[in-house]
Amino acid sequence: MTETDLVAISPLIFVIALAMLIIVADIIWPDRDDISTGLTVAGLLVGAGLTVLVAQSEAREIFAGAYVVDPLTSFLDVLFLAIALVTVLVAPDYLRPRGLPMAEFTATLLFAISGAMLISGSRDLLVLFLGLELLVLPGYMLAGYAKRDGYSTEGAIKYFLLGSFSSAIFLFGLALTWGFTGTTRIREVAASLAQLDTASALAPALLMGLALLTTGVAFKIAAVPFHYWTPDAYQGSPTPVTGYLSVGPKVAAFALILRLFVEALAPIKADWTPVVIVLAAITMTLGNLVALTQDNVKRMLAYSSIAHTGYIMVGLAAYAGAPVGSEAERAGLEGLLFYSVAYAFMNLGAFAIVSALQHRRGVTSQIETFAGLGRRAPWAAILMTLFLLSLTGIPPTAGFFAKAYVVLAAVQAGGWVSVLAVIAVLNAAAAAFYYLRVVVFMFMRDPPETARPVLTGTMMRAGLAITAVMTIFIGLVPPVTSGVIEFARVAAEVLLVRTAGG
Amino acid sequence: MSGFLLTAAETETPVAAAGATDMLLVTLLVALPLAGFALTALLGRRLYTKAWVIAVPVMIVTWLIGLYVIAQALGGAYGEEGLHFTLYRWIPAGDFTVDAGFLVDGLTAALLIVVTTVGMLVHVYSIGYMAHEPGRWRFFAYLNLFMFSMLLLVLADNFLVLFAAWELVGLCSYLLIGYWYKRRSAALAAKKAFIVNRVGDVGFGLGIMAIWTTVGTLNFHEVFEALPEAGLEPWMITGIALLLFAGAVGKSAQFPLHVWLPDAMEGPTPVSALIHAATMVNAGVYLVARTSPIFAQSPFAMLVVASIGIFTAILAASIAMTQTDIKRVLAYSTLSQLGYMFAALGVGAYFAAIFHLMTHGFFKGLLFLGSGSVIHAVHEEQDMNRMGGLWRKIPITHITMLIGSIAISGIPFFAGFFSKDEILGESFKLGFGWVWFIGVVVAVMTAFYMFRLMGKTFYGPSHVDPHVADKIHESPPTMTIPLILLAIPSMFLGVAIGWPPEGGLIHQWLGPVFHEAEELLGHELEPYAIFGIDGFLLGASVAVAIVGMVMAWRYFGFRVPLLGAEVQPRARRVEVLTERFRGWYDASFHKWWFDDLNHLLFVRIGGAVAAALWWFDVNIVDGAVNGVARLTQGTGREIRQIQTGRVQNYALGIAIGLLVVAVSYLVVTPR
Repeated sequence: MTETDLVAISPLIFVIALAMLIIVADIIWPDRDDISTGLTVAGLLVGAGLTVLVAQSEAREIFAGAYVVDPLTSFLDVLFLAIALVTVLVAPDYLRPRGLPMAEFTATLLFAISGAMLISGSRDLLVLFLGLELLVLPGYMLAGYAKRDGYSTEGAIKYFLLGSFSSAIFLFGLALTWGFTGTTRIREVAASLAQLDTASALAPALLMGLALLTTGVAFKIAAVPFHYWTPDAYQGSPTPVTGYLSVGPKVAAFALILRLFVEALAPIKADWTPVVIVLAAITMTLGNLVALTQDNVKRMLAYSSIAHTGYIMVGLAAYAGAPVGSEAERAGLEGLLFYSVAYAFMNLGAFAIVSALQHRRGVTSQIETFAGLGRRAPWAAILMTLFLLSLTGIPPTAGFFAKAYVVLAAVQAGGWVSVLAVIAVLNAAAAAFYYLRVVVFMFMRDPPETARPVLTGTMMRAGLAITAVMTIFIGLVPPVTSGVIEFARVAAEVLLVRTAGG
Repeated sequence: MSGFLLTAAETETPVAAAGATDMLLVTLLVALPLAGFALTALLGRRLYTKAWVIAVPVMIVTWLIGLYVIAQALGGAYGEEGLHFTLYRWIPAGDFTVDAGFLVDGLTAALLIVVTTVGMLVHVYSIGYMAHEPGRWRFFAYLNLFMFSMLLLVLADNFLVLFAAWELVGLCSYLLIGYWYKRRSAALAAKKAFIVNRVGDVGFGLGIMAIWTTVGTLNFHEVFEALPEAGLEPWMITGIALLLFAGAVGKSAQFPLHVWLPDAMEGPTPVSALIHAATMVNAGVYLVARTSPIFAQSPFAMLVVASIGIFTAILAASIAMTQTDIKRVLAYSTLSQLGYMFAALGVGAYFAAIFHLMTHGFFKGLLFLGSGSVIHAVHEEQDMNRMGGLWRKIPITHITMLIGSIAISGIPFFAGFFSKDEILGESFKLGFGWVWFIGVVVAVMTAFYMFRLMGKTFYGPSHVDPHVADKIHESPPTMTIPLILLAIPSMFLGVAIGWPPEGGLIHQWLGPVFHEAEELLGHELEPYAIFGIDGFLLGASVAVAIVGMVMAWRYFGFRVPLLGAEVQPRARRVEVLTERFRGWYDASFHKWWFDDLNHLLFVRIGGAVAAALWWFDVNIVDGAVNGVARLTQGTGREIRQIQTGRVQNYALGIAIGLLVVAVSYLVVTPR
């Protein structure tokens, strides 16, 4: 370990230190939520600054090639920190009225984020697994954070049991890959796979490993048919946690896919492409179909997040299905990254509105809660409409461009992937039905007699402002749009250059 | 104001002077009204009675900036090509790129003079006119939004931005016509305006697409450069020109899409003055003038423009002669004057068309605002049969409206005289004798209906409701000052920019803009000869104007001893006249039954077709769609059953999933 190694991973160390600092601060000043939240917000901003600062220097491998700080790492790290920031801003409005402490919440969240950041730069199969566990374990805790609420506990236990099950499956897959290639370094795995004879069949052990790895990550991104845990865990969790769970672990799991499938398993991508295409197709379709029938907005958003997993997978499929070295390969990865950013903000925004409505205890997330919101709380209704329109993919919001990029990449890739583009567009049209249904409730139904005014704290407003501004700006302000695309392109190119160069 | 422009035009400013400041100011021209709209819409409710405090000052500042930009543009600071810059790339999609860009040249500046000045004065006027209106913040917000859209329309440097602005002004027009949306007639009129405009806009949209597919760009200058070299068949050029003209016909309410404008008078009067007289309805004229290089390549398209224009002019003038609603008379008059402008564009008298657009903007704005003041005075009465003898009671309104009427009638040395005479004179000299002849007939009718209006309102015997008669008083200064300020250009604008004839300032300003079209047409005008043909034409215009005026006076004015003794009471004589021309009168009074024809065509027959289609849609199409929806929902419900809530089932599901994935890797898709 050298000094440069430490500098390179300083953002990661900083976030872990911040989490510990918050725990210590909570011991010294118990019941001072403002201190922990203030510290977190300030810390996350500093952390983001630090990440950008570190990103300025050359990309380099550290810890003997086990970790790398390249544009992809920086891209994902900034996104993870932004996700954490919005979650922390949104949480107090929900947690405080229910007597749930902020400090433990933020500390747990930060540990999870550090796991995500570990994944983003990981170049070793074991580090990857370490990062994954560091990401999901705090996630289980967060899901059961409202420990006196039966649903929360139930969801958390299901999430934990199934999550452990899938982690084990994933670990088996890693083990078989290691057994086949004899190394855990991603670079060496890729090099060893590139040596394989392209004509002959792959060894059954490697294929079995591939199957286990596919299943493991499919569970983490909540792809159908490995999605069963999502609706229960999402609905039971405290709403801000649901917002985080629908975005943070999902994007982190896609980061894992980028490092593992796109980097390590790229030489045999022809073998895993058909599975990705089929999974993407059924994930989009099933997520949307079931979302159609939901009357609970949280549950509806849970299923819709499954559908969005499908759309992001279209980007992955475009990469996988495109010929090696083609433009479409890059376009697919670019679409995947751009979609992740857009999805993160618009989905967090939608959940933030649900949290805001639930500021008062006892308010459910049933769709009736939204009736007449346009009159009761016009701002909340307008913002919710914005997020829902973006989730639907209506221009000029971020969601529109995100969908446009993955679909265009899929068309470019050609072959079966272009069928995926058609399915994606049809699904987007179907999704309009259940998203706009909420809008209809907000603006065209009379509020229930018992409805009381919606309260929002300053932090909640800040969180909403960030998500709304990003949702609009990514779509409408060309410099922001092209900025994100540019960053995504640089990040995607890192992977492509490395897989092409061996 | 004209004096100010004169000095600006004389100074020779180098082109380089057009720098960042000018770009900023031009951007502000659209940004300020937009900001005004946003602020008024957000804070409006809280401003209560002072809803105008944001909108009106914003508009005054916009006007001042507008004056500076106009002076720069007309003073030559932006060069012959005008100031042209790109704000940002609006649509970056591969080959299809459209920039949000602005263009300020002589033509834009000429439009800006009318749009900003009348816009500003109407804003001020509205303070007084809307003073008793609850919820007037909505009015001021829309008004600002309209100004934004209209300024965007004249500043746009490409067809797509123009089209966006075109639709925006249409939207504002809809919102403002339907301002009193609780009144059924207003809501219907708004809908009618919107739908009729859509008809024209379909053509306009198709025209834009045709331009894109043939020359691959939408920027005005690039299109005009590329089109002659694109090697298009003549019929394609004609097609593009006529599609664009369809849009103009809708927006400028020309025959056969003229039916919406008279109904649009359901909106508040300031709106009628601003949108439906001075600015938005001119957009069609502007469009044809802007795209003159396209029209000039197609003699047939030019002929269509001229024919539709002059036909609308005489049709509308004939209707205006018998209407009794003061605003409707003015609305038909607007149609008729717009017809003049199109006729001028069609014969190739571009300068005259824009010149008339400018003078008309001012005097028609004045007449509308004046009519608003009259309506205000007689307590929201619009029927001229229930007015009369008002000239002593509302003197400022009377004098200013008299100036407007003289101006529109074409009496020498008022603004309308110069511009109308130029249209008629050039039509004749360019070989369109029939346009000239119909134009002269329209001129008689114009003078007649205007002085009929003046007589019935101000001079003839009073038919005002006795309860109201005692309470009639002049409008507040916020309303009369704009009237006075509009009366000034109505008197002097013509001489200021139109003298000497065919060589005035307006020709200098617009020379570069129309240079290309003029060259294509190959027009050679003989020098202006006041003692030759031009003198004769001028004399003819003046003579017919006076004839029309005197005729109206004899039936509707005061008794002037010079004009001979009264044989019968005036009312009786009007009746006799009406009887003698019963058929004509009915045709005019019923607007040539156009609304009834449309009703038959589109409501009765169209309705029957629609009903048939509806049946097909409900039973066949919807049946299929609903079937699919039911199927999907049903499937959704079935799939939902998988979600049992039991963790063992889930684990089993994952295990099965793993098995399937493994099998597919090992068996289904091996190399």
